[in-house]
Amino acid sequence: MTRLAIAINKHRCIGCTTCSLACKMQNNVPDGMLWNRVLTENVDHYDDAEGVYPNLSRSYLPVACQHCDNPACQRVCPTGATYTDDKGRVEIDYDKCIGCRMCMAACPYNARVFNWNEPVRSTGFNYGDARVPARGKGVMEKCTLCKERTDEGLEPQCVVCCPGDARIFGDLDDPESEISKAIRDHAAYVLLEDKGTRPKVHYFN
Amino acid sequence: MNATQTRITYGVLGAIVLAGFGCWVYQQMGGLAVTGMNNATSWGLYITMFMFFVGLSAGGLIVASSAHVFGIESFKKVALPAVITSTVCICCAGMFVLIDLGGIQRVWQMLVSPNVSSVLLWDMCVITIYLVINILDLVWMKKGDEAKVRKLSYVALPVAILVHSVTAWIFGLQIAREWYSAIMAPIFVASALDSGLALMIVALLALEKAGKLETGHELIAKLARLLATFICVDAFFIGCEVLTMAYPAASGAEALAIMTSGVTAPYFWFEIVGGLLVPFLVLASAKRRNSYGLVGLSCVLVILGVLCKRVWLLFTSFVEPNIFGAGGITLGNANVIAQQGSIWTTLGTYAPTAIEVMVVLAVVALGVLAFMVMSSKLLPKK
Amino acid sequence: MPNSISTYQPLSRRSFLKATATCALGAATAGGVATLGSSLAATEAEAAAEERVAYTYHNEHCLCNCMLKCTVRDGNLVMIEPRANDDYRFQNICMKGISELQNIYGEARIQYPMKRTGERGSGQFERISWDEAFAMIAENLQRVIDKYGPESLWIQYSTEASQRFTPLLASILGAQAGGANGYDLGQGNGQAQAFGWSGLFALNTMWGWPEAKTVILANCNVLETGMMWSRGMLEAQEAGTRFICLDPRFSVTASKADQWVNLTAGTDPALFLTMTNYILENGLYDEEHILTHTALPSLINIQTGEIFGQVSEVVDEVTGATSQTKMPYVWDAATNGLRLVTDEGVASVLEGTFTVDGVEYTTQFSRLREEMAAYPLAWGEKVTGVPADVIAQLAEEYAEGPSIICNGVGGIDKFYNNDVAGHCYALIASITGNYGKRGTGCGIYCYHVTPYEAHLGAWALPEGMAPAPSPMGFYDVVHKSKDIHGALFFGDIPTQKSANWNVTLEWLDSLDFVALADIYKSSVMDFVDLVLPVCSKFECSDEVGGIKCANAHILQNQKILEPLFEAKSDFYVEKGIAEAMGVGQYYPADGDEFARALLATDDPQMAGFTLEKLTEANGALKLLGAEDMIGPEVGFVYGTPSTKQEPYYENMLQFGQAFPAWEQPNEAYAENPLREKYPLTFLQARTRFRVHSAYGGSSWIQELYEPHIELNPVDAEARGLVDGDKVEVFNDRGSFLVTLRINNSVKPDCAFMAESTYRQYLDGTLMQSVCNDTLNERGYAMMFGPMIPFNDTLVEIRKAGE
Repeated sequence: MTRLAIAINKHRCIGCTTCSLACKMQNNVPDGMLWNRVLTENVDHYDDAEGVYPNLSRSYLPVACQHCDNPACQRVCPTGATYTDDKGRVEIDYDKCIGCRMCMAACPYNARVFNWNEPVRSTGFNYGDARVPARGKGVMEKCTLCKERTDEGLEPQCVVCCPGDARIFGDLDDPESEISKAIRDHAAYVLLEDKGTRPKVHYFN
Repeated sequence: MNATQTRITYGVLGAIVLAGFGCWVYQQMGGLAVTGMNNATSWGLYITMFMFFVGLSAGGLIVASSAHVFGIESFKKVALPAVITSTVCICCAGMFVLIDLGGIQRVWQMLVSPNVSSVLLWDMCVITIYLVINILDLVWMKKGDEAKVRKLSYVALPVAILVHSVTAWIFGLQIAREWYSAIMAPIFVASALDSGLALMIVALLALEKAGKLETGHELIAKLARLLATFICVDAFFIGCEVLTMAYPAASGAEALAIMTSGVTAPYFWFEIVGGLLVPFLVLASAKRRNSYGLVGLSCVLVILGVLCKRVWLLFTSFVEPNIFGAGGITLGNANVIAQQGSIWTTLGTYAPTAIEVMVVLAVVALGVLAFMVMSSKLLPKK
Repeated sequence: MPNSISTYQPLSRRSFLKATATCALGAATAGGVATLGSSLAATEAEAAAEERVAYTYHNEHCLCNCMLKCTVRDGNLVMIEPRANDDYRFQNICMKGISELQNIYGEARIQYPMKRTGERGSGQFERISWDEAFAMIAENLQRVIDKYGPESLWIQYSTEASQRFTPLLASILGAQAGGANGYDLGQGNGQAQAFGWSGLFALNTMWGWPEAKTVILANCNVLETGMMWSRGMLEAQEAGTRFICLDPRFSVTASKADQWVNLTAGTDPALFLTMTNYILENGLYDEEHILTHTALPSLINIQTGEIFGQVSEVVDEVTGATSQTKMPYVWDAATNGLRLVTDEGVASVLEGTFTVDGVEYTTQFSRLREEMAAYPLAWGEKVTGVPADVIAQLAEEYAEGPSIICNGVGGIDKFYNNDVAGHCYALIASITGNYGKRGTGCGIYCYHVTPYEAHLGAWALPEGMAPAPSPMGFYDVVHKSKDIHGALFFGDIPTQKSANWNVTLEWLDSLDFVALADIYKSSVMDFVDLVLPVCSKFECSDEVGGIKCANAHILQNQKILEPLFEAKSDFYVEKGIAEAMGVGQYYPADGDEFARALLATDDPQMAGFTLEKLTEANGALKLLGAEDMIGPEVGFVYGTPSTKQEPYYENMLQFGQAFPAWEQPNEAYAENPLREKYPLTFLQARTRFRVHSAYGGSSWIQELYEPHIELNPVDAEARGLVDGDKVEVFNDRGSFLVTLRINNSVKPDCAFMAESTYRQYLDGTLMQSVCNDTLNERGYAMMFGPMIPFNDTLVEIRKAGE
């Protein structure tokens, strides 16, 4: 089996949001939404800090689809539009999506975004990888782990573009892969482990 | 109600339905962006009303079936209007789910590509079965085929409970949210019982006022006493849930704080006081149960209380994302973004738009219309 | 054009798809439905629209100089990716680069030439043709030249609005092309002299940081302002180097550093002076290093402070001009007499007083001890707000070494006393042996990351054609000059190169004619007479739009798109003006010819580099021999008179700064009575979401970041302000309007705002309206002239409209 995933070194995440826009560009994500967000944890404004000056701390958390081994979104989808593919990626068949948003309620990570309106792009044209399928209004979308790229053996665009080299892409089922090693060596963790969704995306410090 | 009044009522309701239909067409054109829903609060008024109407529906059928299953003779008299309300309400509920779909043109995918682990699929099935039972019930009642009605009741009662449980599981089986609780199904059934019965009583009172059906003080009082019992059951379950959330003063406490003192607090407290406490106190007295006015008022309060419950139950889970931080969640809905001036929100926010309200009013109006038509066609002429 | 080259590269994807579709179908049906197969392949090919790839470079403005791979489909720029590079350090992009995908098409673009119709500042323009525009500018510039002479014209380029062909117009017309900078060079002013270098970019690079035990990041927020170079910091950190970040604000870099020192803004010199004293008092200095590699043992006149040395005449080999140098004397213990500091085997006495011919001399080091004694820990704590034990720890850690001081160009650099800070770095490095050997050094590291620089060729202009000398920097011109009567800006010079906007505005109003060529509707647009639309770095009418050297590469700006709207590249704007003025003949015919001239150079690092090779290599060629990115050890021989480290600046005696001495900021100091009216220090820095004002109009960036001012919750509460309030920031110079955000990272008694955004996003107001423009006279005596003390500013904040 292959279980493709990303591990994120949080210390190396400098909160620059390059991954957000790299993803937006690659996947033709329309205005007003992102597949890949960066959060400043536990505060109300981006780049704010926790604590009282000068006893402060700040951490950034990039969040996109966690590509769970036990995807809550897939379980609830009435049409099977959400599925796990042979590489362990959780994907959406846009032609099957009826826009019920069960998956959106089911995802503990708020990783999914919905086309509430016909997608608007301030460029006035579609951008990104030509192979990425178009999505119309009423359809759910989210990180595909850059399916079109990773199918070809390329890294996802967020991994390629990250200025801090915070992201490691690879196969969790290959114990010798860089990602498997990083997860072992740094005792990486997953988000909301108690929800039992078993994310493939890992984080470490 | 004289013929002119009836015509005017039909006319007004029809106009609302048409206006609402227009709004729905507009929604098909502009997408769900014409609603206040967004990526942070992905369900809104439509799903609230879906839950609400499934509940209203179940109550009627449960009373009607009980009459046969448990041989409560006096209830048989109101069985037909009970099934009419039940039928109308389940149709409304179904409409709300369909209205809420972003891609209704692809809804056939549920038939050709069903995912058996999806509770929404179960719900579609159980609602369909439930609707069929309701229709058969109506047909056989109208025909006076007592034996078939009795046999059907043995199926209808568990299906009525199930339809509500499955609807509850749409929420209660979502580990991602505060809804995740075993009590969700009982709590939904309990609210179905009290709100459904309350609606039935209101319908009976209305029919009596309109001179269509003479229920009589005795039966109304009896039903009112049953309602008081149902209120207690509902209150008990809510109490259980709240205690479970509150006691450890741990993870559930945040959601509880939102309910008791946060954005959904007005709905929570209205339900506790207006929807449970006050109606119970009114209906606890045999004397007051004899007053149509007080019984009617209590029923309306119970119904509104349950509506409020749907609101706090649904939205409390959307307020605080599991992973909290700034910027937050990208809203996605272009209209909401334009209003807020930012694509971000750290907390779930939602306000229904006029379009949503209009569509909801239209469905309700269509329900009332259907009830009026069906009552005048199906109920025995006096 | 016989030598014209094409940067168009047909992408293989289209044919790839076609092939796959045919093959897949062919295999599945064993050739049975060949017709179906080919018709499907045709459809596929149609769906995969025409795509091509070309390469360009991005911002030199943030000095990351990303090399970009751009994909164009159906004539639209659809992908901007990092260009593949064997060296991962130069395969990079950030969200600003990606956002260009939208930004270049965005609403903030200037689309066509416009002539002002209303008052200056009214923002009323009418669209005109390029012919009209060129005629108008030619006529007006000529009128100014005829009336006042060509030197009364000011033609200056900002980094952002140029595509990187060398500007020629000022040279051809003999206009002024901009004098001293007025920013970014303040600490450089102070540290240059000690090591006989520019004082700016460190002579070794950040890739050598793992060899340092400690790196002090002095007002350097590299993780936001030079994001590509965050790798240098993060890698060194992983290798065990400790990073100490000095910043009043809890910046991103502060939050990732191993230690954050939240000193009071503008007190950096005080911190280093206290550290220096602590090092001296506790014997933490490197005596061996001082004796061997510095001029500190040398003698100075105890009364005057003048260096006692052997004066000799030096004749410049090129010009033949003579000048005097002074080789300092030291007191030699062996002979008990004077010897030159450079004498072989000299046994210099480090401390003491000596009388020669009845005149008393002391060593620089003795003087240093005396002077530094004024800065005990308690004093340092009081001035900087940094606890005494932390200052002591910093001093100990730094002295132990190997240590590096990496300075940025914000923070203290935009205070009145900035040179003192730079001087302090040089001094403390000299006495602790933290300069010269591996793992040590000081200067700017984060925006200049290779030791290589190639010398490009030039477009030859006739003999003597050069810009008129600019005796004043722009910051001075707006205050003092009565001699400039016409100006042409490429990019928003006026709001970026001077503070106190109202003064600048008055100067602008005094001009006979002022024109702006810019890509975006920047802040100054409304105040000019003529606006010209310029191409972004992604557009060009020629195959090549620019050549530059950066990151040890020669980079090529290839044509990605035809010019958008009616924009012209800066080269063709200049050329058009020149042609309209009858001097077009001095220009290259096109970009191709210009590029070839730039590539024609004797520099061996570029041997054999041609336009064809650049194109073939996807727009970037690594300089020959540019392998070692750390560079050689800096060593211990310098371009100073003694060839040793010389932290004692004799020429600064008149200012009391031979050794650095504490000097208050000009305005933003604690005891300033003005604080009663304006209690907040107004600090600016760059955010990752901007390069100065650039990207202010990008809707992709706007989704991520909106301009705002930040206050600590304590200060907001004291003013009754809540998050999201629209506020007015004001002092006696002026005011501006902006949204308030409360942020714990901001030091109490400070207000923080990321640098400039376009005026249109601040209700037509400008943040530079409040900024201090008082220049330090001492600056004129230094290499880079005085610096604008943007940060040395006090303001008050109130709710807008109250």
